[in-house]
Amino acid sequence: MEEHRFRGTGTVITYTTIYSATEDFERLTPYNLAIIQLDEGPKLTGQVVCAPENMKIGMRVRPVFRILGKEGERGIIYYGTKFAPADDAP
Amino acid sequence: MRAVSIIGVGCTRFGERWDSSLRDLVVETGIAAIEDAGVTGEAIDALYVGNMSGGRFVEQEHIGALIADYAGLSRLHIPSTRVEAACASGGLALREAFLAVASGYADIVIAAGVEKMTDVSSGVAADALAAAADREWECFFGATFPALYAMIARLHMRRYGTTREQLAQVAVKNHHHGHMNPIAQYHTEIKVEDVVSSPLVADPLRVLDCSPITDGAAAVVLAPSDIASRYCDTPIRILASAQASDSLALHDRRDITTLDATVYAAKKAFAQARLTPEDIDVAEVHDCFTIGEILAIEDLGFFPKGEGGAATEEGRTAIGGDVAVNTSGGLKACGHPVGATGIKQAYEIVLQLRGEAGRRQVDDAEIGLTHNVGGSGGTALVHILSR
Repeated sequence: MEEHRFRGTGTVITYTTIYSATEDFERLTPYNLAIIQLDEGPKLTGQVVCAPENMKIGMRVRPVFRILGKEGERGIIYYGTKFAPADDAP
Repeated sequence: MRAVSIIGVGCTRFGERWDSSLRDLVVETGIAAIEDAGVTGEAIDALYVGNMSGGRFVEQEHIGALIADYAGLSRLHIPSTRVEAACASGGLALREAFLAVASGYADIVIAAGVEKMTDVSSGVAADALAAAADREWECFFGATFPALYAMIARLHMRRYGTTREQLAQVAVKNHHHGHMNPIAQYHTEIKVEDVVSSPLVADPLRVLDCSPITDGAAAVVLAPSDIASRYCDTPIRILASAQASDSLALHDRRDITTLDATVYAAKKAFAQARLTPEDIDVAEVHDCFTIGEILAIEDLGFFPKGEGGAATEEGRTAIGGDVAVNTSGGLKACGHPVGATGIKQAYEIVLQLRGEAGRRQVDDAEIGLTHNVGGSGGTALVHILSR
């Protein structure tokens, strides 16, 4: 096993905008979710932070470090990767 | 392997069953199935029950022993097993019961399914159901079940020209079928305009594209075919039972617009039964969302890939069409108590093949199929039944 660091840039294969979510994500609605193909090949699921009307199949995205969730006001905060539009990404 | 037949069936009314607990629902359906089969408790060799998430929905696990107990069988010490494959738990219970009889291990076996979903808020229910997806790689990033199917729908529309109205036609047809089914959750007919103007859940899917949250249970009784006529005038043969798996996460699939688990299970089932998709008169397929039925009728082989939307719009999947799909109303209108759905599908096909489906009866139905999916396609089960 060898560790590999992806560049994080990729292309939106398909997407949705979520209006009704589970309790942990309800405060974010509406939010965009996409299947993204990384430039190195593998696919993953992640949020894309932009206005729903700007989402497009085939759009380029880049990774951004964001809060993904919180366990209440005083609980653990989960950080992770979301994506942002990157029309300039190679 | 021995030939296996269904000798009795039962199903509760589906819906918001605030009058009944999980155990009440199982007892209601179990008694109906046992009476239909005309068997006594002493004759039963084993029980299998499909249940996705008793722990999350009613804080009750150990469902196997519970249903044997409340069916009045605890003193007989019959082995009772809960099986789980998310929304395909019922179909998997049917397959486990089939294997027990086919192998010669047991003679009279009950396959049941139950889910009691309306005791929790819709947010808790959505999270419990999301557990059928990949918790670390999908849900952690905000995926919901409608969202996964919405992403399939969007790509299917882009690639094959499937229209918003064609998706809606699935719900319109299934509500039409469901309004003729006494056990269905919804008896209201709807129009395409109702679907496309209902609130967005996960774009492009709207409320009326989604199956509801439902309480319900169903049960079938299996026996070796050579003794089935002792119990029943019209035993229904199980010609094939097939199961297939795929990646848990949608994004890891070979093709996002094809459920390969369905494709593989269907191929195996048709080979076992020595039949082709053209031979099927009536089918219950997994329409957890409207796009789900379009995928199913393509991936089962009823229509070429990409033509499921047009086939639906042309009425080819309605009663009287090429193949009558979801005569019960499907998951959409009959309701979707997740652990019970796979058994309810068999219940509906048995009624159709016996000629007991009332106003929604398909003329001369001889061969039927059930198709039950777990998650976004990580598991699929296909059974083929014959008069």
